[in-house]
Amino acid sequence: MTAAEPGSFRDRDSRVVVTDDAIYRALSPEGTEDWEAFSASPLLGQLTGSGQIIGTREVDPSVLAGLSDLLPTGVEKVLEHDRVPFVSYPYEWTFSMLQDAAKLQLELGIAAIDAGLTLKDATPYNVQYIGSKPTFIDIGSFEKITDGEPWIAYRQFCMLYLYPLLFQAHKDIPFQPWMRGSIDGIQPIDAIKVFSLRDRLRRGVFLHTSLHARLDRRANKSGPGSAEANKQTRQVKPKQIQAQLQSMHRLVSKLKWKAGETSWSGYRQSNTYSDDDDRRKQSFVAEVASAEKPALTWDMGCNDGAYSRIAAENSDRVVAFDFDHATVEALYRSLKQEGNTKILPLVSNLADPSPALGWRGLERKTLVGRGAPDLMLALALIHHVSISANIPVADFLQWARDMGTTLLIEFPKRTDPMVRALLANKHEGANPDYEEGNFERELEKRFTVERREELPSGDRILFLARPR
Amino acid sequence: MEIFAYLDPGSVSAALAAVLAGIAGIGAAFRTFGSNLKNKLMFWKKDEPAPEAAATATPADAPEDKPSEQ
Repeated sequence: MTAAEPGSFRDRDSRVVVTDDAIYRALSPEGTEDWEAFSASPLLGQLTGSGQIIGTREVDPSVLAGLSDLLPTGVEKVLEHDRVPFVSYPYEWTFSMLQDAAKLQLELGIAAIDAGLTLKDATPYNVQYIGSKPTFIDIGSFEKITDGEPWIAYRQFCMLYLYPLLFQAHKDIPFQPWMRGSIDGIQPIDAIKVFSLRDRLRRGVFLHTSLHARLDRRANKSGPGSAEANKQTRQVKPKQIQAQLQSMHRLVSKLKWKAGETSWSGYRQSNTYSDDDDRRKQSFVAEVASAEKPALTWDMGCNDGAYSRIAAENSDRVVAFDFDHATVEALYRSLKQEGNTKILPLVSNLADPSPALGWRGLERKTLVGRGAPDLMLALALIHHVSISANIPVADFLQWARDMGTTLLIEFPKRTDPMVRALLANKHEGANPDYEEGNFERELEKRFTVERREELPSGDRILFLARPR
Repeated sequence: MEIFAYLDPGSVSAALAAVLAGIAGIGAAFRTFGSNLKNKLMFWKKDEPAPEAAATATPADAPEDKPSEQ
């Protein structure tokens, strides 16, 4: 099935087309000129070699023969891109992931100038993560420099990269809900409201936020008619843009999110597991992964990623989700240090997973829409989902069943200390459906239970279940 | 000068970007001047690569500059 990617429509010189086997990019005559300038420079080889941009090659335009009206000025050349194993979006990333994406964006801009090129936009939606490694995917963004032109994407960079990072670094405001709620990011006049007078001295606030906002407000007052007058911008030399990008790179690199730097909250120490339980669980996961050899594994409620790592030994790809930003941040840092490209850590609330967003609800896809897993690990999870989030046990199992995934699920009984702690905050007899017999019945309705093992402590049961 | 781009730079932001580029350019010039001077004076030290050089290298962390860099 071949279809133009619905989220790729804004750039009239470049359009992405997705087929069952490949990802293509159609280029207009002008887009082709820019591509040829890019591919003629040593930059393309260097950047694809280092993995900073996605693998790209020219292919015969006939692969898209069946599609018409892809671009207003017609299709002159077609490129093919490597696939990204699992698409993710900045509202699922951690602080450091957004920061590293911003640095990559700027590094590419700096390198491009030396080759007489520039990047026409600056949005984190042009960066994808392969495991813990950021890769730039929008080849169409590279274009020949127009002399005298300033950094066109400066505003977009501020709205989608800089302000979210500043919010988290300076005010510990989680940026993900903001990014998810606003597809174009945060406007200068809104960003400034978050900062106090004292904050003006902090990195990035005075020039890029405060001054930016003040100029915006003044322009808004004078209205759209003043646009013509504003077109008379001073001429800018490419070397100056490069210096500006380097300056921004220094700024972004120095931002720190303090709460995210404290490592493990002591989960491994303070949890209620016995060592025997832990060991048995690890073996179970290892045995299952080794027998299944899944292409894609989801570890829901991954915490420190211990089980993601075990699964990764026998999975092509693992996506590790957790609700807590700081937890995923610590996992990301650890994966990044190892250079791990197999495990992708994401911040996600299982009870409210990423929805479809954007124009016609097609620009950003739902979580499941991006790749249902072959194997799903739901360890130390269902009690939180059911008791804390109040999602009926049957509903959760139905959700897993609808994905068609093989489920490795741990059921902590009502006698388990953690479950008792969660129930202690509720009225007597709360969550009656959260009960061993009921759980197994609901599971059997939707899955064939292949393995069932009670952990040594007697409080938890592991199941390996296949969708019916 | 016409700006051909699908992305609206925001005329205000483009103006600000142009000004900041100018400032950054001066800052970079000072840094290069300072580093050239340092190399000339301290001739016994190995030459450092210019900050704008390597295509894929992360720009070297320069000594902290004037307040306008914030």
